[in-house]
Amino acid sequence: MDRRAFLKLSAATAGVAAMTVYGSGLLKVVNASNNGAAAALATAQDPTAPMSSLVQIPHLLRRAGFGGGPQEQSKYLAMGYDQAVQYLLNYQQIDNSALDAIAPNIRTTYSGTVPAGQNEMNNLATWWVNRMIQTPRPLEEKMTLFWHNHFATAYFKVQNGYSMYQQNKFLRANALGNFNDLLTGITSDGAMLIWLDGILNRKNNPNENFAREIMEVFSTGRGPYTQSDVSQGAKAFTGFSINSSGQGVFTPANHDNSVKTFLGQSGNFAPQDIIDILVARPETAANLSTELFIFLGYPNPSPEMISRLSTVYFDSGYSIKSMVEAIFTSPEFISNQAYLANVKSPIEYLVTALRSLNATASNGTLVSTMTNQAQFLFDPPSVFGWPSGIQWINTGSMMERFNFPNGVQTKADNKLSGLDPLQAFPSGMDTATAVADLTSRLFPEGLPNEVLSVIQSSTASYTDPTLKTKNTVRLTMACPFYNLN
Amino acid sequence: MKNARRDLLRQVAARVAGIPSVTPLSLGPTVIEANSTNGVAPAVLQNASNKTLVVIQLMGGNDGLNTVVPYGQKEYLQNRPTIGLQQNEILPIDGNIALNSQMSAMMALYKSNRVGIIQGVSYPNPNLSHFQATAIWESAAPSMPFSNGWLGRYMDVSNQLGEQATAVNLQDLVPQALLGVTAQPLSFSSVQRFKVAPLTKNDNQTQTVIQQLNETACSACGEYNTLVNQMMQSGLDAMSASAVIQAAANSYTPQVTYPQNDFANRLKLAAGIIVSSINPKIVYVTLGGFDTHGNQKAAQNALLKQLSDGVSAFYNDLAAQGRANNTLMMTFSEFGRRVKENGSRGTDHGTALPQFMIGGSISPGLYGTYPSLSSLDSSGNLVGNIDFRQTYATVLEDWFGIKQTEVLDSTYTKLTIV
Repeated sequence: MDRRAFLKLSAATAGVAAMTVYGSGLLKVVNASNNGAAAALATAQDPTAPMSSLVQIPHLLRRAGFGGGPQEQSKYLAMGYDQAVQYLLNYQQIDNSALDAIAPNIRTTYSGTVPAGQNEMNNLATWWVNRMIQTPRPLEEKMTLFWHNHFATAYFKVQNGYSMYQQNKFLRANALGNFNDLLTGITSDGAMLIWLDGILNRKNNPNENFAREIMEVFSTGRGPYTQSDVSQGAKAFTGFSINSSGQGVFTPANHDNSVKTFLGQSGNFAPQDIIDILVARPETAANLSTELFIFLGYPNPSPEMISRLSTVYFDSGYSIKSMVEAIFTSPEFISNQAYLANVKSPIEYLVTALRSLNATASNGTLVSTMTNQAQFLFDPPSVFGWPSGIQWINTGSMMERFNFPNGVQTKADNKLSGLDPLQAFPSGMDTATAVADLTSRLFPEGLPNEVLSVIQSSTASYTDPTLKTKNTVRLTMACPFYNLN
Repeated sequence: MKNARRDLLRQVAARVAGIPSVTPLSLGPTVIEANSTNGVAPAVLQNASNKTLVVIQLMGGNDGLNTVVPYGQKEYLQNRPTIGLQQNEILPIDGNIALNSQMSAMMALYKSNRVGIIQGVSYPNPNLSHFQATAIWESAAPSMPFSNGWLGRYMDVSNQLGEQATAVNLQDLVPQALLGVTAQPLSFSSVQRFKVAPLTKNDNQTQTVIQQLNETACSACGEYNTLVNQMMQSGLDAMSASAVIQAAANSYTPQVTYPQNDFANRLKLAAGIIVSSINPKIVYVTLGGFDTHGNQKAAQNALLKQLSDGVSAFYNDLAAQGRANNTLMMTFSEFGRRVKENGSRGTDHGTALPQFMIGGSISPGLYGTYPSLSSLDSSGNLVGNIDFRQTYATVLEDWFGIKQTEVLDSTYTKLTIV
């Protein structure tokens, strides 16, 4: 088994990992449980058995957020796993006023689908990347990213930064909210009305685009509906337009009041009736459960897991927070088979590095990285969102990943960067130790010894601390381990 | 286990100096496999060395009715009062069929006998979902589930035959069509970026160290960690192919002036790769934006002009390089669109549509018959009369020279176009 071989390897190197994971503050704690952790990993042959308690916090932070440097790891480690989950989930209690005060540099009023050039899209996307890097509420941004992919809406058609930003704020405000609220809000969302032609869907001339995708992509998934349900649903969604301030408005006079037959029910359905029918479908529960578990857990969850999450969905009255809590507290989430079972998406790859290193990158680097790694925020390729998992990996994307770290700024490049080569490689500390420390900021568990030693010997060939720093960061990020989530 | 890894790495390393190859690796569960992967020797019909298929995917569902226009059927303009093309917006092929006048360059190719148009291409029970219809066309398996593609399965066969051939994908993400049971394409979207950037001016170690790192990580993980292995192999293939691709692109001088747009740039790059020592079996490019639910006419016209002008420049360039007879272009899109326009001056998802086949050695003309606009299916969509797998069977047997059943699930009647 692949997983077993990997765990065996991790066991062999767990000592190194623990030494370097959490910085000096918690070194004693980690060291004390070191042998226990090694033993746990060594016997972790069963994919359903829990992963070592030592790797659970780095795992949780990768999934619930975008990893984190030594201070962040220490903070959550001190809480313990259960407390950490609650802290992440109840993020509304964490003050975020500093970030909320930073708005993207885009048009500030609705002005229709008037192209503002590449700059507006770049400013919007880099604003969000920087927010992900800096947020004290990682799960809020992670779930906003989930919904952006779920309700994938793209600038290339909306051509309006204001509407895209409003949608992003809506998704963030409801990131752990109620699914009926999410579906209702997105149906009258200004950007969505442009994106899936809701404003072109007229009483006497229905446009099927939104009616199809709300089922296929946003709720039930393929299966329960026919082309007739698409056509009838389109009639039920007629009546929306966008007002002068960019808000979607529903005008009853413009709505098709005929009787529609939709998924076996008949009536003069309004948009909310259709949404109520869709959220109550078992297919919606299963579809959403599967998508959430794959995003936060691992590919191919068991039918039993999905049915458990579906029950939570209905019992909680469509609460996303309850579903996410159920995932983080499930034995599956902290089982061996969940460990490093996903591939970092380009955004996860990029944000985790800068967040963990407390480093900066120029907006130009952020833009080119999102462009060339094919995950440009606010501009997914289609309503189906981005690929996932191994689909991100090909020859071109690996080359991009090998080269991105050259754009990570140290304090030598940018005074705002918290990555200080003179602290990473202080005179008097031997290079091997410093490399191990810096490497563990990106991969808290620590790299296997034989992999680490390749980086150590390469970095030893440089004398300049800045080059040592850059070389170590680059090579760590070129490892398959860093690229896993 | 470690020795097996070293053997594999040696094979990979052997490719560094030479022509980039396709990496065999496992992509998990599959339903359809090329017969060759079952240990049966592939059936070869003819030698297909030096032959390249260029696939042009029109993403979003191209409105075939405004591409190859059935202007002889009165229902065409009746159903399309605002977006229907008038007499001055079409280029007649015969008394019934015309090309959109934006495709004048394609028309010139057609008149010089370089274009075959397959009309009414579809399949039984056509699917109107972008996602599902795309998967059906790319996998050539209308029954779910499937996880690989027809061209990937063909590359599996090619590998089995020891052809050391390459499929080249010229965009950021790999389409399902190119995923084999074991084959993976060489994939990149920018030549300039497809190389390891040095850390310093004198850096001559980074590429070697990254290679060593990935090899070490893999041997540490064991043979069977699929994710780690695929990352390593994609990374090593990228580095081994980089120099060859740089050379191919940098040494290439086009013989024509290409239009200035992304699609044409990719075709220009494709030409450079085709004439290089890489000698690819397949080059895959896409053109997006065909999902024209609203205000279709201007948007689709612009795209068809890009398609037509790009293809024409590409053909003429290849002809000047003496490669037109060895190159076959094939367009496809996941579906056509509804006959009746919607209330937004656009069209909703439909079914049958035409495919263009372009090359120096094809049998030109019209294939199949144009679907009738007066006998539509229950959703108001065209009823196709040629199965897309007939096109694939033709390409597999008459272009690539292998038996179609190596790749397809059944035997389909071929067209005489290739």
